[in-house]
Amino acid sequence: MMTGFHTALLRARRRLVFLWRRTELDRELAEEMEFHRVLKQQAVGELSSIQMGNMTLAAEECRDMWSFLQLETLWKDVRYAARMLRRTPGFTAIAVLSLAVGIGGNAAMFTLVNTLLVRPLPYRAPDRLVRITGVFPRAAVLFFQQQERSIEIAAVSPGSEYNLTGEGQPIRIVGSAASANAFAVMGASVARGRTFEPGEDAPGRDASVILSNSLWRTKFGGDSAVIGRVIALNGVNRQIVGIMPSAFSYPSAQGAGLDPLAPRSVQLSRILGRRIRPPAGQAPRGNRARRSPTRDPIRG
Amino acid sequence: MGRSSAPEILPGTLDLLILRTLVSGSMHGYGIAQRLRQVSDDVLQVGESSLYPALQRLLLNGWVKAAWGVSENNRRARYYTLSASGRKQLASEREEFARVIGAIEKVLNTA
Repeated sequence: MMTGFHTALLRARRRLVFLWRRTELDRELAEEMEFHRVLKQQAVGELSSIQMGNMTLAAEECRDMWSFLQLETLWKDVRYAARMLRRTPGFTAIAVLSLAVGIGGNAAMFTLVNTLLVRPLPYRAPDRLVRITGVFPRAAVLFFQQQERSIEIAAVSPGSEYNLTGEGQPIRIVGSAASANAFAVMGASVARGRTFEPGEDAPGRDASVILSNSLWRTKFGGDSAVIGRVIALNGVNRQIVGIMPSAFSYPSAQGAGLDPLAPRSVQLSRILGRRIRPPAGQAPRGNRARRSPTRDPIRG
Repeated sequence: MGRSSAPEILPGTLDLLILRTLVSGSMHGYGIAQRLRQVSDDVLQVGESSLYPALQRLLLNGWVKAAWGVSENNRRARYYTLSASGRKQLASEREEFARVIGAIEKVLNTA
């Protein structure tokens, strides 16, 4: 019998009504059957119960039809299953553990794949970003920028360690150098202050720095007045011009971020970088903070 | 095991027969059984043990309505009436039935 969804809903509602009026409906059914029996008896004469058919079963069948029998059976099955599981704790533990490991493994794998392969990178126009990794002399970046007109080339160096002095206790932090246009190419911006201005990556004009959000909060107490202050990195004085937003985690430049906690996020963006490569470009020349001043790995 | 005194009715057709019988007006269960028997020249004898569950099923689906009334012999009896959705159901079931019977005949005549 084909019954639509609407009929199924109506049926459920009538079943609920039946729960209220169960005894009444039972009595009505019995009365109806008795009426039938009497009429039949009058028509046929003597009547044994066998000729009447199994009325108890019929009534039973009617009751089953009205009740939520399937639901009740399901509930019984669930309770039975729970009892059985409680009786065999060893089996239960193994089953639950297998499920947990299976689900957990899948979830972890999905998270990884989702982050690395499915979700777009958090940059403006990530489909147009290409990252080139390798070791290039800094001058090459400038050369590429001048030669290649159809591509915007920005450069960010991998993180290296700096001594931050002039702010109480000297600390060791990780930071990177970036070309001035790195922010424009990535579509990133600062939370406070400003990004690097064009030409600020030229030798002699690169005495500026942008802090990562976490360094700003841990070392400088989240004080906005820190912008404009001069700090010493590996003995070179640089003025703080901006603070990155907390969500930004690209291996930070001389500007972008100086952050002792950065290595983890650096690692992640490196993995990302093998597939999709963010900015190419020029690292600020004359950055004396670097260990190899003439050779500078570039991501393009 | 509801032993029916009637010969086997094709499964699923009892609902259809009851709905068709109720087209001519409201009837009580006994009346329906009698009517089916008369119209079919005693071929279709619906047993009570299948008639009342069938009626309950139709009630549950909302295809018939039931109301208590007084019978010819002055007894309280439950009268069944075809509802609007029951009429619709009858039409579609008739169509389906004709289709199946036609197909069966076709097979019997050709195979």
